[in-house]
Parts: sequence; C-alpha cells; structure tokens
Amino acid sequence: MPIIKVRSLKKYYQVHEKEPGLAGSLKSLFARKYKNVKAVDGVSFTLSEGEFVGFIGPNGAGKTTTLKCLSGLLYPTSGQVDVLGFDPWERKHPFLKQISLVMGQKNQLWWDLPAMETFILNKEIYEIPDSQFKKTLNELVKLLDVKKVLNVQVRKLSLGQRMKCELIAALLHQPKVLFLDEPTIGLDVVMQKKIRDFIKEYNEKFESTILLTSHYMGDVQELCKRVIIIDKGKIVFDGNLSEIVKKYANHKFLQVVFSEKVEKKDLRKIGKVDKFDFPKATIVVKRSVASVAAAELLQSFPVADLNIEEPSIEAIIREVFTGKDLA
Amino acid sequence: MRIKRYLKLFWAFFSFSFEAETEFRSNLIFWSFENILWMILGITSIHLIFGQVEAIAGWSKNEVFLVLFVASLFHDLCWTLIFRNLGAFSRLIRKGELDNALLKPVNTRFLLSFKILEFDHYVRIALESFLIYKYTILTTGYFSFLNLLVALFLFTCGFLIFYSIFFALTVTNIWFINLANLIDFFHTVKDLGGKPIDIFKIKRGFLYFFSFVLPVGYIATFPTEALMGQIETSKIILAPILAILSLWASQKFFNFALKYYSSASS
Repeated sequence: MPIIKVRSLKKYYQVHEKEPGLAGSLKSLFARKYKNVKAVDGVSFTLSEGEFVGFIGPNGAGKTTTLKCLSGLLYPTSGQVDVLGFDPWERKHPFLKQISLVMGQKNQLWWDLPAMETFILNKEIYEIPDSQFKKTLNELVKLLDVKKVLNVQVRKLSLGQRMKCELIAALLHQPKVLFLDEPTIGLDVVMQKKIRDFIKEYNEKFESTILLTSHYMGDVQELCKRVIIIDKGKIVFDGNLSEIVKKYANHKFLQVVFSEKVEKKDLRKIGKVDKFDFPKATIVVKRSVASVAAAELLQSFPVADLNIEEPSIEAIIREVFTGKDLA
Repeated sequence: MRIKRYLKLFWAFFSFSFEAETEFRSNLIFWSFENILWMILGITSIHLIFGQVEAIAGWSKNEVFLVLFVASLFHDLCWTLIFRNLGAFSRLIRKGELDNALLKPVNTRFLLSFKILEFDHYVRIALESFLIYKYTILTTGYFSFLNLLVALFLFTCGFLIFYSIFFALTVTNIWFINLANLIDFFHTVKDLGGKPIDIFKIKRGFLYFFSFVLPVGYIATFPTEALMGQIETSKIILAPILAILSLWASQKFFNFALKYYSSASS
C-alpha cells in the first residue's frame, strides 16, 4: 500500500526578470517582464511504507518544490498528491502531526534560548504525551550525542551541533513520513557521516518513510536503495541505484599498470585512452566488449596489473545532469 | 478542549518570550522606562492643548486624559501581543520562513500572531491601568465594576477588529513581499483612535467612516464612554458583530492568500 502517491504533479511560477542596474530598476517600475517557470512539470511516483528514497537532480531541477508540495507548503498548479491518505494542501492537523520537513538551510530553533526550550514548545504544539516525549528525546539525544549542548543557547552552537538539534526538534513527534531537504549541506565530512548514520538508524528503528534530497552522492549511496532523478521538473529515472550504472554507463574503465615501456598511441587500438602516466594508464571501453578488450590488453602488452572498474555513481549522475552522451 | 490547548500554547509562548527577553536585561530595563518618557510627552501635549481651550468636541480635560490612557493601553497591548509578530511577517515571506509555521499542527494564524511576546511595555501598562482607574474617578466621581466589564468587552472587540485589519493588510505581503512599514500605518490609525471620536463630527462623512468602516472609536472613545457610564447600547451591540465579521473576513482572506505563497529559495 503506497504511503505517498504523486500523479502528474505540476507547479508553475511566474517570476519577474529585471535587467541589472539603476536603469533596469526604473524600467521595471513601469514595464515588468515576467517569465513562466515550470518548476515541477508532470511528476509521478509512489513510495511504500518504510522506503528510503533518494531524490536527486541538478540545481533548479524541482526537488525542493516537489517536497514542498508533498508537505503542503505549496499549492500545486495541477496534479494529485496523496500522503498518508491526506491531501497535503489542506494541512489538516492529523496530517501535519505525522510528517516532518527538514530543510538544511532553515531553522526552527529559538535563537536566543537553549534547544531544549524549543523541544518543550514542540511537545506542546504536537501534543506529545510526557512519557513519549521523554523516551523519544532520550533516544534521539543519545543517537546524536548532544546531551552537553541541550541547555546552551542555540546562537552559541556550532553548525553541526545546531543541525543535530534541528533534527531532534523535527523528529520528536516520531513522524511517519520524513522529507529531508539537503540535511548535510554545509557540514564537514565527519559531521555528514554522523548525520547519515543517525538517519539510517532512525529509519531502521522507527520504520519511517524517508524522501531525501542531497547533492552529496555519499548521502544517497549510503542511505538509499532506490533513487529518483529529476531534471527540469521531469523525472528521468526511478529505480534502484545499481540500475543507474546499467542504464546510463555504457562503458567501463580498464585501470592498467605496465611492467615495460609502452606507447600511448599503441593503446588506442584497445579503446579511448583517458589517462596515461607511465607505468599507469586508464582506458575507456564499451561495456559489451570490456572482457575482450581486457584479454587483448593482457595478450598484446606487458601488463603488471589490471583492474576493470565501473564508472563512479557520481560521475554517472554528473553525466546525466549535463545531458552528455554516455555511449 | 481546544480552548484549553490554545491557552496552554499561549502560556508556552509567554514563558519562552519572557525567557528570551530576560537574556538581554539591559535592553529590557532601558525600553521599559524609555516607553514612560513617550507617555510623559503625550500627557504634556494634552496639557499644552488645554492651556488654550476648555474642551475638545465637548470632552473635558480629564475626559481627554482618560481617552489618552485607554488608547495608550490599547497601543501597549498591541505591542506586547501582536506587533512584533505581524511586523515580522514580511521577513517571513521574503525568506521563506513562513514554512515553519505552516508545517505545525496548530492554527497558523494563532502561531503567526502570538508566538513572540514583548515585555518592554509592562511598566507602562501597569501605570496606565492605575491612571485609568484614577481618571475614571476624577471624571465620574466613582468606579463601577459593571462599567469596567462593559469597557473591557468593548476594548476586547476593538482589539479584535484592529488586529484583523492589521492581519489582513500584513497578509498582502504574500503578493507584495516587502510591505515592512505597515506598523507606521497602524500607528496612524491608533493616533486617530486616541482622540475622542466626536472630533470627526466636523464632516458627516468622516464620522460615518470612522464609526463603521474604520471604527477607531472602539480603540479608546467607546471603552472610555463605558467607563463613564455613557455608552450607547447600539455601540455595545455593534461591537461583537464587527469583531466577528472582521475575524471571519481576515481568516478567509488569509486562506485565499496562502494559495499564492511560493516560499523562497532554500
């Protein structure tokens, strides 16, 4: 039974384009130019309970707009959205009590007070019973290791500490559906790993359905089996992460180390020479002929070591975003 | 149950706002007493006017003072409860911070209107309450609790009417994005209401406009008349009708406006 159903979702905006400079400002006072932006243009997908899905795309693809439509912040131009049996736009309280939207760049903590005060306020807002509040808070504080900063003013916390407290504030009511919009943005690699580990553990422990957007492929690779790729408001891929390689990567890399001197031009009969820095070289070959090419390389050249590698997910996604021919 | 829940939430907002305010003690102390200086200026201006005239539109000096103190109390309660929140609305729209309020399972309008309370005016509020009591006795020779109840009823209706008007104007930020100076407009309206409404009798249209369209009389004149036991029954009947209508209309407008909310870049 799908917990999130999106059918032909569209969200269009009208934005005003202003020419730069004072002349442009004066001109826009009397005659404004408007442009129609198709932020989301016919997106459809479903999510089942407990699924953890990565929602990725280049900047301006429509990821955040989609999340905002799913959480009821934005009124769709057209299409149907069903989350937990509710129309998100109606923003009924039983619906809002079961979802959470965490946006990496925005915060809900009271700036001049310790995070604990916001947690107590959220307890009242979400009508969380005392015992459940204490239990959930203790679990989250332990998972994120923030006991020492709970009673420190938020404005005195580091970005990583603040992000952890934001997550706690967003998860106190144990939402069934969690929308995470770039939760690790701006964090150092150590903190990114900690947040990822926490989100993974949270998903396993509370069996929540999670839709995650991120520009860090590390987030997606570690956390999500299924990925939806969106570009220019349309879905271009929806499936398992491993299928991205099969669908978009038509090539493999032969990483070779030579025992004796070889000429770069001689390697071109094997495939396209991507890198050549003797004794190492990287040759790109079509996926279908990778084993044949490897055999020929071993037969015709003095090879000390040979690895056949897939292109990285990151490289593939980059190619998808830039629309390059991957053949 | 819902009323109890919202009272509990309001108490939570009160507590947290107070805690946040007391983090900056010097600021709180400075503004608490700075506001009294403004009050002294207001009193001085009335004294100066009554140095030249015996009455204003039939209102004596003490009666005009009573109107002034009721209007000041209205102003200070607005500052304490709603100005800071509604004044921040344009920033919420511009920066997409309205998202946080829309995602909470609580009446959005309630959250936007009362989340942060101000405490700079509590000294003035206490002083004004005392002066209202004193000047009621000076003008009428007595203090009636029944008159006080009627005055509080009219005062509350007046607050709801102007809160609704201010809220509806603030909501237009969803389209206009940066109407940050609406508080100046409200100050002008409050200043109009801080004078006995009979001064508008100079032109028939003015009195009609300021009685029914922009009913500034409910800010101070009518509650003052109630304190003095001189209020007309029709004004008491009209007050809740205007209050309910304005609350309903502004809520409908807010719901309509939210369809056009486009958040902001994250």
